[in-house]
Amino acid sequence: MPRQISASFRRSVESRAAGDVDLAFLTISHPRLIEPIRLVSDTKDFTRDGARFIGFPFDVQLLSDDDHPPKAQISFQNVDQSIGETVRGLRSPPRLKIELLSSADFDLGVTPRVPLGTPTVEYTADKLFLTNVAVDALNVTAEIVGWNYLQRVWPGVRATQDLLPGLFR
Amino acid sequence: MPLWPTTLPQAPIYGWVRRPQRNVASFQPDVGPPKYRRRSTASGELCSGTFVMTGEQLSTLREFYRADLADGSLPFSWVDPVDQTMSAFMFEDSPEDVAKDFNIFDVRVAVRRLP
Repeated sequence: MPRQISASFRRSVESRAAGDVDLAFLTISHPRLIEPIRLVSDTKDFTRDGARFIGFPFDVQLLSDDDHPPKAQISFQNVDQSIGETVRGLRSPPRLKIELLSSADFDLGVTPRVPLGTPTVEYTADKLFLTNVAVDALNVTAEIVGWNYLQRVWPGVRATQDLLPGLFR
Repeated sequence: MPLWPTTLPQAPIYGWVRRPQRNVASFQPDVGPPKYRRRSTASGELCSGTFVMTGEQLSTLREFYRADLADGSLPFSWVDPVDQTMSAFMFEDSPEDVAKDFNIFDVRVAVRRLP
């Protein structure tokens, strides 16, 4: 399936040297979290749509895009241990959303960084889950997995003997 | 954030070296020149220099480093000696002192100006 990206972002990605930063915005949400955890892969905080994304350098892969369910890995330093402890303390996998934007769409002269107009989201991966979260004193690593449609039951309701015993007399 | 103590010299006497932290990611393809990308929208600076202090001032600095900055693990505010703006710094290494004369010390500090 073709992916729509802006011409300026494509020029930046394909050029040999680029001064724009490719920023990964992460939103980690869970019913037990009062506010989602919002992070951006930069040394400065960013504001988007009234929400503040904490500048927090991390490594995240783009999701695999093949016949298998999407999968990737994320790792960040456990300097601020609150994030690692919060994620590890959740009993079910938290939801994750990844967005990729260019720093060219933000005013870099102010802190936190604010958008110049309406920033273009070049890549979005939503409805993801963080699993296999490993936290130690130095690093937090986790697997990012997508919704695995291959493991869903279809049709949702089956005419089994337990559900419809009259059909099996 | 703790402030650089007012009883200490506010600027190094000599040898103030300042270098922006490298903020470029590079990728070397099999053929052709490397590709370069800016890594983040702001980067810090690595600075070092030498102060001349009395014994009392050296004690103040050591106390500031150990107690207020928790052995250098916390940032502090200080007026940058070059551009005269209040900025956040962290010690990159523990301060090193050399006795030059009676009650006179050369104190070498290495700090990082935070982005």
